[in-house]
Amino acid sequence: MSWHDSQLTDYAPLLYQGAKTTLRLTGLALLFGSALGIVAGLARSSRVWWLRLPAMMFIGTFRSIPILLQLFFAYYGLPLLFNINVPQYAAATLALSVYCGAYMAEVVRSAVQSVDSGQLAAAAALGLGRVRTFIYVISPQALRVGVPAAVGVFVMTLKDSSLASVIGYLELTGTGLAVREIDPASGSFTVLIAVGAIYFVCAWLISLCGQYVERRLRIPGMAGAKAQPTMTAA
Amino acid sequence: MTVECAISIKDVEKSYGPTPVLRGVSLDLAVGEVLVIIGRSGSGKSTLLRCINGLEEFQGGSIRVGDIEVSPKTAKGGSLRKTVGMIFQSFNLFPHLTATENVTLAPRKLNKVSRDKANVEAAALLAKVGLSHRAHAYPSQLSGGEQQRVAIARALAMHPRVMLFDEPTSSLDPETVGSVLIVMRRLAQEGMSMIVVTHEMGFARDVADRVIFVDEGLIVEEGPPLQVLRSPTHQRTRLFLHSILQEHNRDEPPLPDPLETGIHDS
Repeated sequence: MSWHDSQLTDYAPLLYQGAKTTLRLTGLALLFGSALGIVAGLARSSRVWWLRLPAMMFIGTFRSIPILLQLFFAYYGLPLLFNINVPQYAAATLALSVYCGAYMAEVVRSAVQSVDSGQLAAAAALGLGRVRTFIYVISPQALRVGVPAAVGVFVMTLKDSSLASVIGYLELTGTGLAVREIDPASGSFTVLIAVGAIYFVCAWLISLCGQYVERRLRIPGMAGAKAQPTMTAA
Repeated sequence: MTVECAISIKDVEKSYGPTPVLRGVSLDLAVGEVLVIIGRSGSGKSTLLRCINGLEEFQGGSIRVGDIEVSPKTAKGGSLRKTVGMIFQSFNLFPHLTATENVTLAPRKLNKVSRDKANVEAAALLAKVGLSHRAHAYPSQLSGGEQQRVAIARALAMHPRVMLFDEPTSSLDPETVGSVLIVMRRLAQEGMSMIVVTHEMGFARDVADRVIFVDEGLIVEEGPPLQVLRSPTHQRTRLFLHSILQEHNRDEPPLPDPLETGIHDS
């Protein structure tokens, strides 16, 4: 009885669709999440309490609740609460974006706050003002500090997109598990290995991009002078 | 002929929460004068400097720089900080910028100087502090003394009328201290109004027009350098100078303790 190859060609198209869905979901979540994270992270670092406290509550909440539950709330809870229909792709994208955003906010906050206060004093003494200090002094340094951590959050988001399968969204993991159920005799673990390999390659590509960015931004002797492969979650 | 007042400080008080740091300090800095402030750590001297250019807020009294009254509003305004340049103990260069870029940042972004003109001016300033050959180095590639000299060039790029130095050489190796003091001395000779907080008694003796001893938030003694350093009138000044000299001259035998040996013919 021939094993892997025939089965692979059978369900390869399905896995391809699933992978596209995962990449679309992850891509959107990273986009919205990064935007949200920058806003929330800056608010969290702000001196004004009415920016800082809401940001703290947002970040604290969505980093403390499992993404699984957040997906459930988005898909089953929101319709109950607001009497609207929430399609799977919307719930998955919303939940994953907010989750990613909360983690990105912490990356942004710690990167911004890592710039030492002596530099803020020097910039102020030169007359640079808060906005220009942020643009020309804080951001360039925060960027270099934040990239490795951001890569970690990106990979985490990719991996956690797999949980969207529990609300029935047919992304890559959901597709792989479905194939396995439909055809239990088909060397069932092979499909999961294939799925795992696809995630691995995607994560590795994200990490490569991160290393490239780190290398391009590098300043001799500054923190983060050596670009490291980072695939661990933040 | 009246000498213009570069800085006028009257009865300034400042506390950090319940702790008073400045308890009624008054002094005037004339244009072109070099004032050296000495004192223990925690005596309030650094805080006083930071109040002058608005980096710290003070609760009582007033500070006037030229014709600008220092307040939270004028601090943010911009013209106050353009008039006053500050040099920090930890240099505080921007590590992601080269020496030249450090010097040109403020002129380009604040005074809208063109990049080429700013570069020319920066080159001149870096030459003035003896660092033309390091114009494209990053701070991490510079020694402490070189970084501090770049910091001086950076402050000078904004054409300040007064320069404040907050323990500029305290973080430096003894060998490099001299290179920075030379630059400061030259600035003084060119007529810059300066307030320098330092432990370098040699600099105080040779360059200062006046020396002020601050202790526990108050001015204890004030006068020409030779008077304050060689024949201080107050006991606290004497004790402080004694302890400073002991630190700097570890090879010399310690001065005899007057309490132990009684009255002594010197």
